[in-house]
Amino acid sequence: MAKIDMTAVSRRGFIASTLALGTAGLALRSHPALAQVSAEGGRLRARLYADISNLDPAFWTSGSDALVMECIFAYAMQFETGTAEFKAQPLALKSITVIDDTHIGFELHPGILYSGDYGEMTAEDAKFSWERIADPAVQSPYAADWAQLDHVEVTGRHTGTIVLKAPFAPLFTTTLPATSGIILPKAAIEAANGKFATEPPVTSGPYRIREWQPRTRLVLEKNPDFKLFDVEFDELILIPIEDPKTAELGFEAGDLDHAQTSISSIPRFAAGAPKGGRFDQFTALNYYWLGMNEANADLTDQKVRRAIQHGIARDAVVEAAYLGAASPAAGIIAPGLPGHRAENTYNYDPDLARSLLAEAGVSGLTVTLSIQQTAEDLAAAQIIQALLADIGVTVQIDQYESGSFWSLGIEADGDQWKNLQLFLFSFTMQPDPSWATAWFTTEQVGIWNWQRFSNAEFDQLNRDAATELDVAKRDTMYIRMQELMEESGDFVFLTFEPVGTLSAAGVAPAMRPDGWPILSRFGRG
Amino acid sequence: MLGYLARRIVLAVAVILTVIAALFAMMRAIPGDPVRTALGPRASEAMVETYRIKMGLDQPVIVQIWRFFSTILQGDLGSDAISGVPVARIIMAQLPDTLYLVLGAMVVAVVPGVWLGVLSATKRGSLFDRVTSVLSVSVMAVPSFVIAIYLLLIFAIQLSWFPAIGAGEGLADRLHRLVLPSVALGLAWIGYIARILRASMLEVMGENHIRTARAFGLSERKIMYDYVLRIAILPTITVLGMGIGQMLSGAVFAEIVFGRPGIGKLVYDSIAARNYPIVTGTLLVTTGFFVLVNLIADLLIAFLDPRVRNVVSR
Repeated sequence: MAKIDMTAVSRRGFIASTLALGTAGLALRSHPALAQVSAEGGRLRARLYADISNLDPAFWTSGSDALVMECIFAYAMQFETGTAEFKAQPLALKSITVIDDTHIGFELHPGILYSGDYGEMTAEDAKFSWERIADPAVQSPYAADWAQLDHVEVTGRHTGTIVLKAPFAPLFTTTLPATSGIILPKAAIEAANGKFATEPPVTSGPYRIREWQPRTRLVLEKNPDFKLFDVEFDELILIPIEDPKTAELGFEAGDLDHAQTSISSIPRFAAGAPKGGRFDQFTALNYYWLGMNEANADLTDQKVRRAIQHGIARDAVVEAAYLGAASPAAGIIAPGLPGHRAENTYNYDPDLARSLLAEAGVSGLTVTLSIQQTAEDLAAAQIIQALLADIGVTVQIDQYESGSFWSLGIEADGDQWKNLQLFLFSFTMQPDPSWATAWFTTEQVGIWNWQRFSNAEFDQLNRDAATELDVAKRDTMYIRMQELMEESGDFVFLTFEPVGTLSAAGVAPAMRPDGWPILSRFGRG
Repeated sequence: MLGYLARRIVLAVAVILTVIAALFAMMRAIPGDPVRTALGPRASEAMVETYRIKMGLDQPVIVQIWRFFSTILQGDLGSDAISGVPVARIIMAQLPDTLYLVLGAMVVAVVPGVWLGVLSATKRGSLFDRVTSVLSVSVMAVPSFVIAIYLLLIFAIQLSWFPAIGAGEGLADRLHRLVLPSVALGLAWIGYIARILRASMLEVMGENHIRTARAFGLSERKIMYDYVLRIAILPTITVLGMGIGQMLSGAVFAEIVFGRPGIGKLVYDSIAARNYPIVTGTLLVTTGFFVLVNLIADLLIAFLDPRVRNVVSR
């Protein structure tokens, strides 16, 4: 049984672990330039796309929550920034030791202090925090992040062992480096009656909350007790701005130092960022596709669905929706992740589409395409409408506001799912392929699997791939799952959404490969 | 007068109850699950059910309405089921910014609107009157969000005279950030007020008591401001009372475009998220405010116009 210390734990790195690497130096090493600028202090004003709603690691609800949690809690691990691939580094953890497939040893940095009177972060806290999320009685939506957790053994003040019921690949890719890896003291949670929302009873990260004016602004100030890395800005002023166009105008007027742009503005800013700032473009993990409800009477014949697949020129749809800022996708797993699929099987072939419809005995077919009220959806839908008209299928576009749209395929919300036919969908995910495929199992039919795609092989692969630690095997399994999805005729994979960000002159953004900002790591540059 | 006031208050309460009950039912008639929207896709069925019960959504609508009103009578607007923050606290954090915005828009609308209306009436048929007429109609036809975007592009980005987003801190910063949204929201009302006041003044100027005042040799200025305007302003007050409601609903555009906090955006976002406690709480407050403003407008008219005062006294 080999012991493996891990410093930079990427998916590939973890699975192929053969080296033991020291960690403390990496995590604590400070950059001289950063230290110099840090002394100058300053404020960073950034956009939140929504206000915070819940900062409890067991119950957070939005990306804005996660963005802020990354500032106020010392994560067990943290994703590197400025890299092309996702790599996670230990942060609160000093080292991680893969003892075997189901036993993961860990050691915490000594001296990580909580706010208030809660003292130092210990292995007991880690046990409490991780087992809390996994506990069915807590009813955390994130229990699946610790799906295979049996228990955590505490072996010392700062050391312990994560004991799994089965190998669990996402542990190092989306559990420990994300919110579910956050460690909180038991006393603080108990003092908050078991859970909290927007007023954390304790913090441990590079920043702490100084002021929160709901829906107006959140001011974070540097935590002087935080020593795990140098923090550049004394204050983060986070302003909830839902509309990206407003954020762009705010940036151009000098009211913001960092903001995500709208998709439609990406070509404009790519040609030149305003006011000497910088523009960066990323490919998000969000995947975008056209779904078809195979249970709908007009679409039960797979030949009809296949005809629609062949009737859609994905490149034209993506070009219209994303104005040249994105490329067609062949699956739902983004580049750089295991399972990314490079080639599509059923491509644009209008002649074949027409002959398939003829074989199915279908003529004069009219279908509805349900979309949200976004410029991207509408542009994509209009191109799809024109393309399918060319093969003899009339498309009626139905636009919905988001609240109505997200209930269209959910059985518990009524019978409207029976009338659902074509729909444009976009899901967000974390950097592990299991997050992409989880929604298309038989179990999810009528919940988030609106295609009502059901395939036993897919379901089995989905279960097996989560516990498979060999990256090459996972790669093959997830590619096969996407092949099954496409073969069903229920999916037309469109793209991975582009992300554009603006940063003011003198601000060096710290971004994950998918364009997610790690605000606490922002510097001056 | 007291009887009139009592009748109006009873009517105001009835209006609020009717509006809230209707909106409460309508909110639940539109598709969209507030629990799933709030909890996200990873919430288990058990958790969805727990929150459904916690939010009282497992009960019939009539029971939900009853519970809502009975908690209101206890002075409680409830809590946001997800964040746990009391709805009253959320509303009170947003309300001042919207009221400042509406007040700013009223100033933008009333001061030039009244001035233009009076001048147009006194210079009836002149070039000034004609230009004012054309400009009034033109500005009224432009949606406030279009005005907002151009104001931002010109005065915030090109000229950098004003900040683009946010409500600001401290009095000076707040006022500075209030200018563009107030102009965007109030500009179209300048034309309305000018046109209504002009027409009303011309009507009053033709009445017998004005001719009598002139016959007594009173100055034109005194006649205009003490006799004509005092009566001619009454329809404008009525319109402004109604206009407050439109400005409250129009504030959502200004709040979104200028990235300001406020009640309009709060309602908009809460409807999209099917956040029922906030939607109903906010609508209760805004409806109450709207009814209150109209009540004040009616009382003001009764106070200013002896004819109305005499009628309500009888």
